[in-house]
Amino acid sequence: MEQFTGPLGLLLRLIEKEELDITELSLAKIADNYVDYVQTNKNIPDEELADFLVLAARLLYIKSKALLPYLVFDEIEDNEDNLERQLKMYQDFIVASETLAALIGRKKFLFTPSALNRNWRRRKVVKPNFIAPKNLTPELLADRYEEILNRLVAAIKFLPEENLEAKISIDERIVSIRNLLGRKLRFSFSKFLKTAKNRTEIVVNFLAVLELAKQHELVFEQDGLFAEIQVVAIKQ
Amino acid sequence: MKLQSILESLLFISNQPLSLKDLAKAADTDILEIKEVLIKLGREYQESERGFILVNNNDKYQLTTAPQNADLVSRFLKEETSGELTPASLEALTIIAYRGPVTKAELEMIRGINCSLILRNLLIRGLIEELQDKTLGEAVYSVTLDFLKYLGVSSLNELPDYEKLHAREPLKNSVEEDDLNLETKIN
Repeated sequence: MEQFTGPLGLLLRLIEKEELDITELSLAKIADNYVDYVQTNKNIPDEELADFLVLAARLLYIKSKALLPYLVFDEIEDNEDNLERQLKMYQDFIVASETLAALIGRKKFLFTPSALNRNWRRRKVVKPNFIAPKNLTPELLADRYEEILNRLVAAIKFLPEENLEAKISIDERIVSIRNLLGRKLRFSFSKFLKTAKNRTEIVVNFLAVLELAKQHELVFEQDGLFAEIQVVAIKQ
Repeated sequence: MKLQSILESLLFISNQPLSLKDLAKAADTDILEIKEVLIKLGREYQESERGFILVNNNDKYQLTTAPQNADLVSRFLKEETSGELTPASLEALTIIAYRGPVTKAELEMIRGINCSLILRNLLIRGLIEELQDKTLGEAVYSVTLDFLKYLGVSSLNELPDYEKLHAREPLKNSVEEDDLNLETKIN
C-alpha cells in the first residue's frame, strides 16, 4: 500500500485498488477492508487515529444501511453527512494537487528584487536589544509563578471523577461464544442475552452472535413466529 | 496612460507585494480604477513576452521575473529553488489555493482530518497567510503571493479547473441529479 495522507486518502486508495466507483454501495463494500486496515496498520500516527476511527464509524453506518434497507434512517442527517459526495470532492482535489505538483516541478519560479537583495548584498541584520521593563523584579516573577501554580491546583481539584467501567469487546465475546458452543452445541438466544450485565453488553452479545453467524460458525433456529430462538453450532 | 506609468514605477521600486490600498494611497486614485489599469498592465506584459510579469493574489500586486526565464535567473542568483512539499502539505495547499479563503473547519471537512499542524507549517514557510474574516468571526486561510511565485503563475485564475473547484457550493454531479428528477417524474 502506498502512503496515504489521511482517512479519506486511505479510503480512496482502497476503492481504487478494488477498481470500484465512488458510490454508496461500494462504500458499504469497502467498509470491512478499511476497518481491517486501520486495525492492523501501525503507521497511523496516534494523533490522527481519532479521525481514522470517525471515518470507520461512518463507513459502518453506511454498511448497516445497505444491509438493513428496510430500517428508516433520518434523511436530513443523511444529506448533511454525505460521504460519497465528500469523497468525490476530495478526489477532485487530489487530482488538482497532482497538477499543482507538476506546476511546481516545472521549476518556473518567479523572482523578485528582494531575492536579489538577499543574495547579493546581505541585508544588515538588526540585533534585538533587550530592554528590561522598569517594574520587573525577581519577587514579581516569583509572585506570578505562585499565582499560576495556585490556579492550576484549583483547576485540578475540580476535575470530576468517574470510575471506568470494565468493557467487554466483541472479539472477547466471540471467543467466549465459541467456547460455549464447543461445550453445548446449542443454547437459547434470549437466555444468552439475559446474561448481559448492562446495555453495552447486550449490544456486544448481539453483534458477536451476528458476526459468528456471518462467519458461518453458527445458525439460528426458530420453530414458529415469536418462538424461542436457538443458537446452533455448525459442525466443522 | 499617466496612471499606468505611475503604477508601473511604484511596483518597480517596491521589493514586496503592494496592496490595492497602498497603490491607491500612493497614486491618490480610486481603487477600482487602479485595479482596472493593473489588469490591463498584466495582460500587456504577458502578451508582449516581457522579462517580467505582474503577479496578483488577494488584491496584492508584485512585479516578478517571467516564468520562462526561471532557469537562467536562478542560476544567476545561485538561488536554491527546491523545497519539497510532503503529500499532505501539497494536498492542504491545493485545497487552500482553489477554495481560499477557507476556514480551518472547511479544510478539515474536505480532508477528513485535523489540519492544525499542517496549517502551522504552511504559515511558517510563508506559503499561506491567515486573515480574520469579520463576517464569519473566524480565521480564514489563503495562499500567499510567494506561493504563486513558487508555482510560476501570475494569479490563481491560471490554475487548471480553477472555476470548477473554486465554487462555493458543495460539488455536485448534475447528471446524476437530472436522472433522479427524471425518475421521480416517471414514477
